[in-house]
Amino acid sequence: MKFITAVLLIAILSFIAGLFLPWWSIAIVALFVMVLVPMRSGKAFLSGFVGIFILWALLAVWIDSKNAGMLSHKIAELFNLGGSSILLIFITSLAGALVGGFAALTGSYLRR
Amino acid sequence: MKPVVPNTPENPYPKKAAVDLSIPATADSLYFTFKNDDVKPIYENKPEKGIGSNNWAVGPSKTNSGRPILCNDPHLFLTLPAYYYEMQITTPSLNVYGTCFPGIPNILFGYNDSIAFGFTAAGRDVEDFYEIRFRDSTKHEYWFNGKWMEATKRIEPIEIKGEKTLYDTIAYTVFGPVMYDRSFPADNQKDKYLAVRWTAHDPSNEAYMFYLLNHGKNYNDFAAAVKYLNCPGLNCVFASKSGDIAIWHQGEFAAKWKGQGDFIMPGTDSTYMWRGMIPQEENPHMKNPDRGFVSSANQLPAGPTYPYYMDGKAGPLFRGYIINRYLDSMQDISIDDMKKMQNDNYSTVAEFAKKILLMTDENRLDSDEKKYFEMYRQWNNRKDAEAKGATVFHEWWQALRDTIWGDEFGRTTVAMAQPADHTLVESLLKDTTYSYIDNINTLQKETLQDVLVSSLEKATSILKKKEQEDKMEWWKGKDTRIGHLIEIPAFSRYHVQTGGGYDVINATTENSGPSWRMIVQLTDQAEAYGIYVGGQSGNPGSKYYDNFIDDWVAGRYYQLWMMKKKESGDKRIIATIDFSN
Repeated sequence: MKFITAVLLIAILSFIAGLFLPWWSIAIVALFVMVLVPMRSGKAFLSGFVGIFILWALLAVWIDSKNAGMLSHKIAELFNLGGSSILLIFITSLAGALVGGFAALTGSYLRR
Repeated sequence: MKPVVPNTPENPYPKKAAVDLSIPATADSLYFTFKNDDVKPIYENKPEKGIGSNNWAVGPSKTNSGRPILCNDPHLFLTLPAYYYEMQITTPSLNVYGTCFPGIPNILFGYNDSIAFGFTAAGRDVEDFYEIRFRDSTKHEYWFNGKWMEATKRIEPIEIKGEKTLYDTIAYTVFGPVMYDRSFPADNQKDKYLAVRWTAHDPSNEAYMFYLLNHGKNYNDFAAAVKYLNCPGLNCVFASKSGDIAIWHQGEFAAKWKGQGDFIMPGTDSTYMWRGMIPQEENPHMKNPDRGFVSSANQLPAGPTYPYYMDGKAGPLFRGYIINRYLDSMQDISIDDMKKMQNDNYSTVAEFAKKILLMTDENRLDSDEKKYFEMYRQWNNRKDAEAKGATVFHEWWQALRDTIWGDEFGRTTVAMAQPADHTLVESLLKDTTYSYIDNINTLQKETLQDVLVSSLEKATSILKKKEQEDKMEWWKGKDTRIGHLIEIPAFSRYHVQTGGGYDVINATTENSGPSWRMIVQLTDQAEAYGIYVGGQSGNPGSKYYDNFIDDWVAGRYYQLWMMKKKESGDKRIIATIDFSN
């Protein structure tokens, strides 16, 4: 339960922060959420990781759908992903998720 | 072979030059001394290429509407985003439609409520070089007309990202700026100071020409507008609703004696300077000729009786030839005829070459060579996308050119380009024992039959490889590409399935082509069609980035919609911008 709460908090607060702040605001959010919600380091990393992964995946799919996948297809070619939009969105989300995960991990260490 | 403007009674050439064009007495000893040039041999082993353009206008006597039709297809490099932007400009005093290049506030190729206009390159040489003798490497003084003259200096700061600003000192002479010196030498001219005389350095106002054309109402407006065109020279084609057609080969052109400026000229006195400009009204031009059409495709602007030296290099001649041949014979011309003509792939080089290549003695061919020979024989001289015969012709002709010219030109000590297609065609048709046929590197004397067979043999080995790679169709070998400006493959279109070639009206080569095709019929409500390679957006993520390309490849057109004020609620409108606040 605590895990799901943490994941949702990170995702929602990161979305709101992203409306006003640069992309790296996800790190600040994940860190603060972990300061507020005490968790063991492994779980903390996972909640930051999953929270941001879900947020960025949803956002990327939403933006991509508005463009009918045209730009993502070309960028995926540029990155040697065989033109796969899905793979590009996955890698995008993974990048955000790693930042979120490590920030959350840092937050959980700060509690100690 | 007709020039852009033939000499006719109704549009005669000037009787004599307005400037004395006698060749300087010292020319033989000081100027036409190619053997003294320390240049390396350059053998240009390439078929004749180069970017050109087509334009023509047919008069009321030749159209089924009884009104003129103007056509223009400028050939530029095929790029994404496209060079072009399609636009209508409407103000209380103006209503004009066509394409422009982004940043230019006028329509460049287009039409308004009264007239239509289009352009091709004039292909004239408007840039000549003079060898300057400086007193020393400080470039302070140079020798001119028997005394040392002071050069003016100008310092050009060139800012370089991440590095110190580079200051380049340019010396100016009576001829113009010294473009090449010891710091920035010309190729193969390491120790020379070369000053340039270029008409682009003269003050002019070309943008005003386009402004006047956009506002033009009749022939007089057109003729007055083109006077503002100095550089680059263009063949300006014109048609009006009142039924006039015209062409002006226009630009600021020096009145040159024969050979002037073809090579580096001596710059120690005034003997070799330009003696004057060709008076503007003596530029080749033609209005409402009896033949009922005007046209240009970068061929020579005027015939041999034109009193001024026609410098520069005309483009491939065969596009001009085929355009004139079609227009001479056509009657009752419709817009559809013009669309077909702009997309025409018929090669007259191939037509003429066929008379030569089919002389080949089949008994001397092996089975592979025979197969390709047969493929070529059945080909209809059209460089259509799927034509395999076009590929055979291309390789065979190329091999023949190399066989005939390669031995002699490989030995030259001066820079020389391979002679053009028409030179080879004409020489061989006239004389089957043409001296260049013999390979001067062998003891025996080769005959035309020998070189035909040996060049087909050479071509066959290439063709067999192409067949293995599945590249026999003309479009596959030509491999037209529409490259992104910085060549990002994902933002480009490669392997475009088009026919065409440098020598046919549809001059689509591997990376250039009729990037804007326009047809305007000047009926009361002008009926116009056009298409360009690309799309109206420069954003690779937009569907408008490249949405015209497939239709362009298929030879289709869009009807141009000159919008009227009352159509502002039309449902074809997808967006509006309000500039009022």
